[in-house]
Amino acid sequence: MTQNKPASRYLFLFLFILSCIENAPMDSLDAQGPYAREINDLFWPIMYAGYVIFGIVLVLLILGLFVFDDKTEKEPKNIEGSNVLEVIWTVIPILIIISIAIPTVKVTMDLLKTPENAIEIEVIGQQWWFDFYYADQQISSPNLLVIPINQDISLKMNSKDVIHSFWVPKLNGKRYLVPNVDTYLNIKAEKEGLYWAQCGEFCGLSHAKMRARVLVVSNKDYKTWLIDQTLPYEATQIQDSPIYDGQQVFLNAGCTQCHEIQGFNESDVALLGPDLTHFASRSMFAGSSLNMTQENLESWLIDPPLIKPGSYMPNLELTEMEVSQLVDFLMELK
Amino acid sequence: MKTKSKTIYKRPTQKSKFVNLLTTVDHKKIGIMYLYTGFTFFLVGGLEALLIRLHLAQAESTLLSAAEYNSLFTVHGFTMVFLFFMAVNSGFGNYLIPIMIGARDVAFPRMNALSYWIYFFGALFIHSTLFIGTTAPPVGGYLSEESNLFSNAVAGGWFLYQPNAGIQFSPGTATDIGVIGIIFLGVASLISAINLTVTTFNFRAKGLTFMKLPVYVWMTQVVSFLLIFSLPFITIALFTVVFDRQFGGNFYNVAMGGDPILWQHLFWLFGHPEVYILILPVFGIMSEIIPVFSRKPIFGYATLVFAGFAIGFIGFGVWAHHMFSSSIQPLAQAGFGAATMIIAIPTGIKIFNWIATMWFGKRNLNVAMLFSIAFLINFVIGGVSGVLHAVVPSVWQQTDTYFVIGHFHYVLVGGGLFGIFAGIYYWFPHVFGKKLNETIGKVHFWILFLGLHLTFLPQHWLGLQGMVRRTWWYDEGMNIEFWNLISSIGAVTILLGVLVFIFNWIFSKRKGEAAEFDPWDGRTLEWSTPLPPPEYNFYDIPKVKTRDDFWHRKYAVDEENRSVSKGKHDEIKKYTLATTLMDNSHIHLPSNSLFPFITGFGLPFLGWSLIFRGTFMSFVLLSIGILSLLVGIFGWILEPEHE
Repeated sequence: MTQNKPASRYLFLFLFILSCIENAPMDSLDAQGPYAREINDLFWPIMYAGYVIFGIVLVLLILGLFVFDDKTEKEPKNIEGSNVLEVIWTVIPILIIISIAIPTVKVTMDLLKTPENAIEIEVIGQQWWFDFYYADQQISSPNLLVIPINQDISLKMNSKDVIHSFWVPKLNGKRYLVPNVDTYLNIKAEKEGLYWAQCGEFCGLSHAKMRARVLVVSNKDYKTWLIDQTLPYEATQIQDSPIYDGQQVFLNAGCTQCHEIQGFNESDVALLGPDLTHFASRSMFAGSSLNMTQENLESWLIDPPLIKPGSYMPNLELTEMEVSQLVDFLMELK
Repeated sequence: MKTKSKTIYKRPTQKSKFVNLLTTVDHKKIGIMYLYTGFTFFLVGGLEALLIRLHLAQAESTLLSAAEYNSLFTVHGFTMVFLFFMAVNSGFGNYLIPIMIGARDVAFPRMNALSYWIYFFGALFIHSTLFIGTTAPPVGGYLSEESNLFSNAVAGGWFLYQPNAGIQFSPGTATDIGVIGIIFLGVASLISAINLTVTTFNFRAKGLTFMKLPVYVWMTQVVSFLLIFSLPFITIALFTVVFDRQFGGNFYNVAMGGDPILWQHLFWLFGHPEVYILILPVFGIMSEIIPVFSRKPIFGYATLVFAGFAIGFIGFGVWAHHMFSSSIQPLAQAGFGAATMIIAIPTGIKIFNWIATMWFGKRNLNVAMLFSIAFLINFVIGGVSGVLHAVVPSVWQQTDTYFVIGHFHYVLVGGGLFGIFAGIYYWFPHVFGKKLNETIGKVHFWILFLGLHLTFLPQHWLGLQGMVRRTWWYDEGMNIEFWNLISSIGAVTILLGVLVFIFNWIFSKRKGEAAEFDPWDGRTLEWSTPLPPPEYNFYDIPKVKTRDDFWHRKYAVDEENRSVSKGKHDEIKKYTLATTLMDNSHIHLPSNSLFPFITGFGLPFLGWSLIFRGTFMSFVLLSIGILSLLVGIFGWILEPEHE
């Protein structure tokens, strides 16, 4: 099987010229890891067999209607059935089904095994964002899962509220995040880059905006990233600077009720909102629904539920001044 | 023997149209009422779908808000499955089964009316959500947009996954209205299923043994069994949700030890057989139409019937394939996957038997047959993508994406709806004594055929490209706008097709070609009546000798095994039409009754009283509901057998 040629496969598949479908970031047929590829290697032969069966049915239908119809002047013969034929079209499908069932069962069992040398990372789902928790380093990385290349990762998943489903189409299929139940999903990427992830199970108002990104980096970069992420924030003490003002807004406007910044407002209890210690080090925020830009952050802070309906973050009715100070501060959280 | 009874207990005899509508127990009239009501909801559900498609025509669309979108796709599911599809199947079943088995009515005529009225008031109850329903963000969440008419309906998806559709994450009365409404509709279906079962088992004409029944009757019988066995699951499940939402039942509250996955098992234990409940009657319709327009008997009658039973039976053992991405264990996943594949075998048998029926036949490519052929093509496409849903790892990728939407719309629209249209073109002359116009019908067919593929074929690709279901928003960066736009254009095309059909209906009812007797040279008993049939169906209860008995009254078999006309067509027609003028006072028919209507009328009030629990209003509503139920049931018991 050739790999990484989704466009040509679509071409074969649908006999259309589909230039517009290249580079779909969630293309499940564009496998970038062994798990997704094993699924595709199972999908394609069955899909091809499906075309053949559809073709046979179509040919039989056309033959019956236009070639082997009764062309005499009389009424057609009263053929009530044929045991031989009916046994044939019972047995052949049985054989086809068996030949599909065996690889299906095998691949199912294979893919659900957790590899021995896998790194375990926790995924916590909540309305409407994913939190990735690295237990060994005690790092929380909301919306961004960073993993090393060519390394088996076992995601240990759970949900804080309703049922969610974690899906990185290019790396593996979906798995539910069920409250109070640990579920596991293996992923492994063979190419560095940024992959799109999305919640796959309807989970309420902003289900569509419950997304995440998976960043695949080299082993070296992964280690650097882990160390960077453990560093706490060093608050600025220079009064009258925009960042200092932003810090004050953060402390006074109610942000600290839900958000934690290591080294700044550490909390003993688990908070509702994402950890913001390294907020600006990520390329996206708000459940990976917004790119990390000044303008986006401003419009988010002005009215979060307008962008993510149902959001647990309220409209804090901040003044224009407060918003811009807060943005300056948050962008500092690298 | 007639007993003189007090005035109050008289059965209604007034023949004014309106009173007759409320009191009729005639299976044909009830069937037609089901069809009209069901088709009305088809238009409602279709407009909901159209709004959804218009919204999705472009990336980052703001036509609908998240709340509106979620309500719309939920109600679209409810409407199409429960209010349109099941109602239309009930309509066909009610109208056709007694007349196909040579009976004058169903076994329990008043129950039949009750079933319709519960369905009718249940549907009204569900739609009352537009005016009294409320939705709200999860406890602790915020919404910036005002809610409006569209967002006043249940928004948890027709599958109502817990705890998302629970009281904490979906506050407001809309979800309760949806859940209770579905319970009502379940009651209606259960009554209808039992009624049709008893009718089929006991009311068959003399000589009409089981293996001579039309395939349609068989398929509806399988569906009745499926309903009788699967409705208890959903009723219990929905009651647990009502308890959770209203009285703190904690069935699905994780913090109190509840289990959200339990809901999924219960729901799909019903939800999967439900798929066959929708499609099997259409298999039956195909099995009636294809032989008539090939002028040959159905190929492999016995296998076709047994395949229907096999599908129904296996359909109960595959529910977990809707849950392959949940926490169920590897062995169970593999097992349910394999079981699901087995369904392809009996389905394949049916497809090949239908095609074999056409071979060596004399084709008549009229609109009913065109729809049947298109059914075969569409259904095979849906079947092929269906096999992929048994391939567990492949499901992990495709579940909850547009690939699944594409699949089941090919089955339910390309298969189900096309089959229903075939049935309408085929039996329209039976109901109205006039044919639907063939030319307009062909326009209707081709527009609909084009619209179907434009809409749903691209959805397979959208799913493979990662478009997740039930998402009101997708980024421009997803690169999926093109096929979304095509799919939306397809939806508009389908609307055009449906408008042509409505025009055809109105036009043909007024000016259609008259068909007073046996317009298609039919094979089964329903074509042996004058058209439209008199209230008593058959002047003489038929005596049946063979399968396709009516055909064999008209045709003999020559030495080549070909049918040869006995030349009796005109004679049979003349006699049948003459019977309408004969004295029919000796024919006993069930009398009309108002009490099924009154009983059904009370149910929504009980529902509303629960919605407004704790208020004075609730007490008033409860009183009306209980009073109406009591009057309905006691009146039913006390009214005399005859007018």
